[in-house]
Amino acid sequence: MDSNNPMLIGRQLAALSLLALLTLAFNFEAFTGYLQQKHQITLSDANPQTSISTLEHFKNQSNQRMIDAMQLLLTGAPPRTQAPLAAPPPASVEQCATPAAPQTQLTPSLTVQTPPRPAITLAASEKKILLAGDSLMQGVAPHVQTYLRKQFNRLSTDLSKQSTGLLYPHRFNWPETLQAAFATGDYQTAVIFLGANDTWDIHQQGRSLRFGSDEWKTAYGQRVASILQAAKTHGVSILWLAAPPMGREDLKNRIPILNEVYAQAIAQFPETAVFIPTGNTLTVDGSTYSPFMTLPQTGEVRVRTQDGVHFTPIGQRLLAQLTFNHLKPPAPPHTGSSQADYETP
Amino acid sequence: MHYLSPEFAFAFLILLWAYWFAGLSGGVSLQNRLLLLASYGFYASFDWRFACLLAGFSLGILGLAHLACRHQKHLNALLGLGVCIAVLNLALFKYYNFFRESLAGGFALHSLPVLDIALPLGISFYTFTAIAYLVAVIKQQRPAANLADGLLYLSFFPTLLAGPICRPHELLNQIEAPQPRQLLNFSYALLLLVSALIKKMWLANWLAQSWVNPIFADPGQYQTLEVVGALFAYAWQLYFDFSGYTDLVTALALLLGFNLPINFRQPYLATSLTDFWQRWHRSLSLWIRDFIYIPLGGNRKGWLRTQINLVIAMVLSGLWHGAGLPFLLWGLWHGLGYVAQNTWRSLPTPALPRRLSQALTFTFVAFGWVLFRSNDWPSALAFCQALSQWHLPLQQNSVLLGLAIVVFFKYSQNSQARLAQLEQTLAKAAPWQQAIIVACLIAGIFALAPTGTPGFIYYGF
Repeated sequence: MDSNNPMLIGRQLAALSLLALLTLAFNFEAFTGYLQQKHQITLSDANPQTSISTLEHFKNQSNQRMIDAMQLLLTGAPPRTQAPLAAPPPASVEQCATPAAPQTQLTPSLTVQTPPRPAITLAASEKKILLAGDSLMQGVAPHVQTYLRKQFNRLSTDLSKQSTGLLYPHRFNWPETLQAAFATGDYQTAVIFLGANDTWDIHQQGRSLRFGSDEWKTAYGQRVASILQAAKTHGVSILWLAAPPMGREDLKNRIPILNEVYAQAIAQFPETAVFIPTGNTLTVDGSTYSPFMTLPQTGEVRVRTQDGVHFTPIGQRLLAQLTFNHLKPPAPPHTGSSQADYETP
Repeated sequence: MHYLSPEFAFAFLILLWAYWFAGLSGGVSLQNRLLLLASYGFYASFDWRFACLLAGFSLGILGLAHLACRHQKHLNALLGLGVCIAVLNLALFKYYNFFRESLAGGFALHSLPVLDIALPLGISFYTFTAIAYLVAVIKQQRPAANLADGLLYLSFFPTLLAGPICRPHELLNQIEAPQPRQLLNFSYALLLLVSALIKKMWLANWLAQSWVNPIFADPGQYQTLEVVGALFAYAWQLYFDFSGYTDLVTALALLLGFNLPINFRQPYLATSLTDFWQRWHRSLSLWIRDFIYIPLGGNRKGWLRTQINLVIAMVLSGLWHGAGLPFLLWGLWHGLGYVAQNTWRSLPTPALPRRLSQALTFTFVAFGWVLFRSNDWPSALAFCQALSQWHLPLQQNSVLLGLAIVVFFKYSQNSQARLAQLEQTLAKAAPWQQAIIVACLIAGIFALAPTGTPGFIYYGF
């Protein structure tokens, strides 16, 4: 019914206001999550243990049953069953020689010995690769997945999720999620790309740890270390991509601090993880943000989107190629484990 | 500040109170001024430069319309000038980098400088709105609008970002009407809000996260059935995304006392391409028909010329959607589809059963959307190649998707009648009771929906 009666309009507007209040009240958790992710405003320090509820477990199980039934219908064969997993052999590191200093002869045939490139050797067995991270990884992952499948005939799982990081575990808990994924035994290699949402204070036990302070670095470093420890326990090797230089003013100077924490944490787990800087791929000098890059085949192209954070499809492909460059094909049959090592170029 | 955000909801609620209070004290003209302020404020919340560009562009178009009213002798020149300004404005912001990067190889355009320019949201929509206005004035179908009304028509915030593309008689007439405004169809507006949330927050989001994103990301690792599933899932995701947005802005407009034209009429029940384009994004189809197809000659110059005109119109429609080869090819796909359809009809072929026609049309349209979804041609090709992967094991729950799609089709068949019935039922309750019912429904949607605030696909145009 149309209304131009002021009283009726007033009642309808009051009803809309009531609707807004009730919607806020019924969905307060979603609202606080939004405030935290969009505006970095934390209303509560709630840190409940996140675990898969009974309902979720039931949904996952019935989902899997329907998939298995469909598989049986299509092929007449029961779905593949997982063989019992043997404990994976511990990853080992090849001792790499100290790289020679670059030679500085001023001759036309200048030779420079480049430092060895860190890499992960993929497992010889049929294990998938796990991709994890935030919305930056969401853009890069599809290209990595295609490379892995075409070049190494490897399947991969992309768990990346926008607006996630390590700061708000009660919103999304990466250490727990990755621990659960590693424990399935389906993966022996993982690529992790985080940081864009982590340039803010940590709220812990009623206190606020200022970003970049020693306390913050310790607390954040512990969260990174928990992921690396879980990987080490389950024999998973990790390729950890550095957070890239950013164009947004509020992120620009914070990214190097994040990367410093990553590098330090990863240095404590040399057999398990390698840390890959991304600056050289996306910038001219390795550190200064640039929305454009000049590539040999195509000239100057845009690699970052207008928000100064995300990548264009070309930028995503560059990072996927970078990831791919640090993955080695499986070793000959007698080795059979994935490992972090240093390969000479 | 996107429509589906707490900030917008809060701001809109405040605007509503001020707007209807202004209606009591200052009448329609005060309400229009408030809307104009709100519209530019809304647009500037994305980027103040977008608002400046819109203001400058609007003043140019409105100025030309006024000149046209005064100088009857130069109408064609003024129309030509106006259309050129509109098209060049759109081309600069939307197509410059496409020409530079995509066609650079063939035409040695590397030396053209890269322009670091943002694509102003809604530019494709307000450009077409402006052209429709200019043509209506120059063809003397209506007088030129006064400055305030004209500026509001070109910046009306419910339709600014992604339409519907409103013709002057559809929106400007309502803005200019001196009669006091009424809050239209309160219960229907609430139902449209619920519909928008179901479509956008739950269904489109679920289809995207569970099916479309993973499978389009790397189709080569999925079985044929799953790839086909992703194809149909994307068709429905796109429909829910866009029609959900349309439901939401229609509700906003009703609460402000405006009726917007219908943009979607159960498009996947279409029995032919002709029928499809009368049901999908109607405001754009009608614009393409009136300002491209008919000026080219329409169907008045013989069968062959008609087909050529159709192909040109669809290719331009494709390019309107995006600056990229896949969009151009998508337009061509629909254009050639029209030709195939018209060829079939011109031959002594039997009429196909209705259900078969619907299935063929839906499948044809769904394949076209692959081009829409793919960032580039290699991705589109990879998706099509993945349709032959019968040997791979299943990873997705196709049973659940199949059931969902059957429900979507079934519901489409009498969705309008059902919505009308629901409206009648809801309207029996008092406004505060309706608010409680809708709040409970929204809580249910939040519980069922996947996490994450969704964006609107059509914002990028």
